[in-house]
Amino acid sequence: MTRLAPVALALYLLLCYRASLGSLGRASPLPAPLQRVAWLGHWRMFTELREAHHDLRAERWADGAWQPIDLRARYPRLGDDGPGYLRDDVYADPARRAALIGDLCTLPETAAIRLTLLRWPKTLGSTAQPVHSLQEQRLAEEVCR
Amino acid sequence: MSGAGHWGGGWALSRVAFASAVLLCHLDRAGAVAAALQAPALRFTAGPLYLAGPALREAAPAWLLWGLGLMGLLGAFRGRGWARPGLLLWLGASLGLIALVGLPARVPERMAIWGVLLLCLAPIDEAGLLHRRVGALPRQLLMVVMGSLYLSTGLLKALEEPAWWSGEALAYDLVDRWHAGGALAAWLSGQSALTALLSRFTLAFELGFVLLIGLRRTNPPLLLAGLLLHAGIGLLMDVGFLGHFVVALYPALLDPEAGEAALASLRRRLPRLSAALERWIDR
Repeated sequence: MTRLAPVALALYLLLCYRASLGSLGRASPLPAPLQRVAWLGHWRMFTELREAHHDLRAERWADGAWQPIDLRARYPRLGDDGPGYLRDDVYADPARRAALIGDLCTLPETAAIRLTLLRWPKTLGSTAQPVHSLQEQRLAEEVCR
Repeated sequence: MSGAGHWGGGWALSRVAFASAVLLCHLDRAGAVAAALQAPALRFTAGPLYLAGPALREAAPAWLLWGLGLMGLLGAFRGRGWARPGLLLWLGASLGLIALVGLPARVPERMAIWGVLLLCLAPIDEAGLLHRRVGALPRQLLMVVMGSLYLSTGLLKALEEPAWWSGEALAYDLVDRWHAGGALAAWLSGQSALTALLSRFTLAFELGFVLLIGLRRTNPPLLLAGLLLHAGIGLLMDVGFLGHFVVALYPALLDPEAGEAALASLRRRLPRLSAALERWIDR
């Protein structure tokens, strides 16, 4: 029995590797229950080329105009990869994005929310990372219910 | 001192090193708990827990969980019969903080869970580990977990991202907005030959780990290379406590004979330090 334990563990971790490929979009995603089971051995670190910085601009429609929302003030917690709302598995996931919009809709007198993804190239060899060649991508514009 | 099985001293050292790494992480988490309690409604927790409002909005139970985790760590440091319950108490409190307060559950947290589970399978509650052999199964399981950690991330880089071979992916990570490590990292990002060299060292280490960790000759230099890799990452990037947890488990991976030889050498050269270390770690 104990001899089989390392083999069983290796098979589980193989499943987790397959789940990583699915979450990177390099293979078809595993069914949700399997993806959840694979969470504990799912290692994805610095694997992709990330040539650009990105940020999320949030605005709310109130008093007849789009007004900026300070996301950093509203969600102050920082992980080692920045604020949680800036993770692609949050803003790029429709259900999680809907939860974010739902939360922003609770701001007083908010009729609609608009989210825009901002991207600008990283500058190699320098600590200064000026914002230039800014690209904007509208992620969502939704009426609050 | 020698014989079949694995050197118990590796587990004794790993218990203390892992408890130290987890303590640093736990103290750092106090800030995350405070920030989580300030945040209004939404948490951004990765993993099986879905994004939702935290269940715990009151400060007292959140800090109680944090305090229980700290108590658990004191038990892990104390060792013997306190070690396993202490580590499990810390793990339970941590999972509570993740699930109820919304603290992040990413790669470092997952590695910490593996570390606790594997240490609890090892004979960390026994005395005299520095001087005897123990069953090999916990070390074999640790080798599988660490092998998967490195091989999985190495394969993802080597097969799925050509920019890792050229060093470009590393260069851009060195100027990341959130985890870049200052002037040295920024300078290095502009040195394409150096980033290519470091990238290939990383790939070679990650891909080779699973093959070389079990060989007596390559085991100690491989672990030394791992130490250098994690020290380099720590110097150049601010990526949390994953490296601390991983390196803390290295003593348990050390080849039994190499571990025993290192201990004997320490005893010959620095007898007082060795005696103090043994009293502290192996009581």
